[in-house]
Amino acid sequence: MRSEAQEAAYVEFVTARQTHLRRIAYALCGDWQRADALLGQALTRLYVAWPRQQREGTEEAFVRRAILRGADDVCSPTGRPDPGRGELFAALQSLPLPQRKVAVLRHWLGLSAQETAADLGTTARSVETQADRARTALEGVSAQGEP
Amino acid sequence: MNDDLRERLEASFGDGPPHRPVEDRLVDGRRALRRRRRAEMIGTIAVLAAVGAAPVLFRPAGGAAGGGGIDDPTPLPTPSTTVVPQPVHLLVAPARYLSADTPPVLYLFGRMFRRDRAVTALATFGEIDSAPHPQGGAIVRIGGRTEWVLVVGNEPERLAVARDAPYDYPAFMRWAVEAFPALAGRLALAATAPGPYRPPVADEASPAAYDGDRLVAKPGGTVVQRVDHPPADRVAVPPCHDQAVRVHTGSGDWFVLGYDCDGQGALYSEKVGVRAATLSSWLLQVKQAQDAYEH
Repeated sequence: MRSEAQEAAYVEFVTARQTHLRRIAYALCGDWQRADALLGQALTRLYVAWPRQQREGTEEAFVRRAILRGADDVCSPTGRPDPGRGELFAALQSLPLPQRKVAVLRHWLGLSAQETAADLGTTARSVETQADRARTALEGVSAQGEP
Repeated sequence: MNDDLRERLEASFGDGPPHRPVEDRLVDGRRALRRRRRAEMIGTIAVLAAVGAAPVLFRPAGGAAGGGGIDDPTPLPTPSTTVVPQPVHLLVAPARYLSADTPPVLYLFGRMFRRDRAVTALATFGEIDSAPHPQGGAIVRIGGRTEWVLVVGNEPERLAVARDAPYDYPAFMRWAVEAFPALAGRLALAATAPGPYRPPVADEASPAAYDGDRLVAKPGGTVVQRVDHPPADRVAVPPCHDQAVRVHTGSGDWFVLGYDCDGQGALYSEKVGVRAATLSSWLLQVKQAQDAYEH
């Protein structure tokens, strides 16, 4: 068990950021149940790694990366969009999982190609290729019909 | 970044159902931490036991035990000074993809493989890469040797570089960042030049070379035509740039397409007349091949 102060800081972080972090998991998996499971795994890892991550100020990046890695096991490779979420969300879920990850990081979270590459353990060049393809697919979806 | 797309994505998610209580997260975390500490304790005991048993396990043949030991034993690491990374699981490549120059790790259809079972991957990056030219690398151990390997491109359109070096992942990554642009550029030149893929003529054998960031003729040759920004430059990876020259030498004329990345040059050199008679038509073929390759 961590010290009282460490646990208090952990609780503060989770309370403040879990909504945003779960939305990342939801964007990757396409349903809230899997997103919850994915976030739970990532937050458990964060607790174990807490002292170092807090000291270095990398708590959020750590959880985000844990979600991205865990998505390979938890999310469907072809996506499972919640019905009624709209065409854009369905289009995002229809992307192959590696491309979906890039789309979420680059086109939604606004990370740079280098930051995205670091999160995914790949190269900026590969990220740009994937990001271009994802953008083409997503921009082809009409804004009409969004919830 | 397209703000409109970003806002539309943002609006498409919603906030979802209520969260689990944070107390539940704490319980999960504490349980995981206990498991981790138990595993660490068991691991420490196992290492100490192995080190303590080493003189018995690795006694040389013909030693005090009178033979029956292991010849030329590999020294065990000292736990307090040496970090031994866990091997990374990489599949062994099917033999039909191997050739005499296959590097220790290779890409097949965007996935990294080991060349054979003698190769142990200690660390990797870019294990899965679906880009047209996947890029990645690994620190591998082969026998008693540790090697850093960088690979660009799926088999057989692949280029690789390797060097003997100790296990040091941060240093390996620094090297990779420096070496990749030129390596990728060289492959792009080879893969997008007219005709089927061929490993490029070695830069040493090219009639041109970089002088700083400018492509010039080597002694004995003359640049007779230059294109500073050929069509291929459109997809060069920043900060790299393409330039092309036609070089006249005593043994004939050459087209040379250069790819320069902050002082690191890569060349694609071909004799005039193999595929085209003029530099502009050669570059046009490069562009067409490149377009076909990229899409």
